[in-house]
Amino acid sequence: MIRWGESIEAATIQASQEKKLVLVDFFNPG
Amino acid sequence: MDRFIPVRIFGDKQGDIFKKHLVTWTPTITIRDGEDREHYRFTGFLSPDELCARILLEGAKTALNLKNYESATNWLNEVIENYPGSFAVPEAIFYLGVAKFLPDHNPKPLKEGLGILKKEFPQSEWTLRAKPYELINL
Repeated sequence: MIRWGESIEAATIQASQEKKLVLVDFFNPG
Repeated sequence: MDRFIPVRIFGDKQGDIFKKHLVTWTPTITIRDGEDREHYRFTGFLSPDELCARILLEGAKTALNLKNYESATNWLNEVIENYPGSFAVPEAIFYLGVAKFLPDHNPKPLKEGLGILKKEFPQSEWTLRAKPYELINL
């Protein structure tokens, strides 16, 4: 189960700290 | 997926972020680094295996941009070995040659990659893109 974040900025900080990449899914539910 | 921090942006609630990132169609997936830079993006629906292969491939290419050649090589090998029938494989073979070339500029992997592409994917655009490597003298 993927736990999706809601903030690119927060994910970028986490990625920097953990030496990971950020995957952003731009999604349109409609 | 443990190599990525996943974020989902919803078009109906976060349209301003769509505008900021110039996203005009969904689904669009972007791969970014920890310094707030976008490296790659792709758009459209893929099957689960194709999606995994594509994410790994774009992650590998991002690792290449960041000069993390060992990770790039590992991820590209994962695409080739774990998703053998996927559309991402010819491009992964192309970039595997690049990932092996860049650390010490030994051109042999470029030509080896072309050999595999010509044999296994003669009609692929990635075979065409690698064609100049025929001129490499080893």
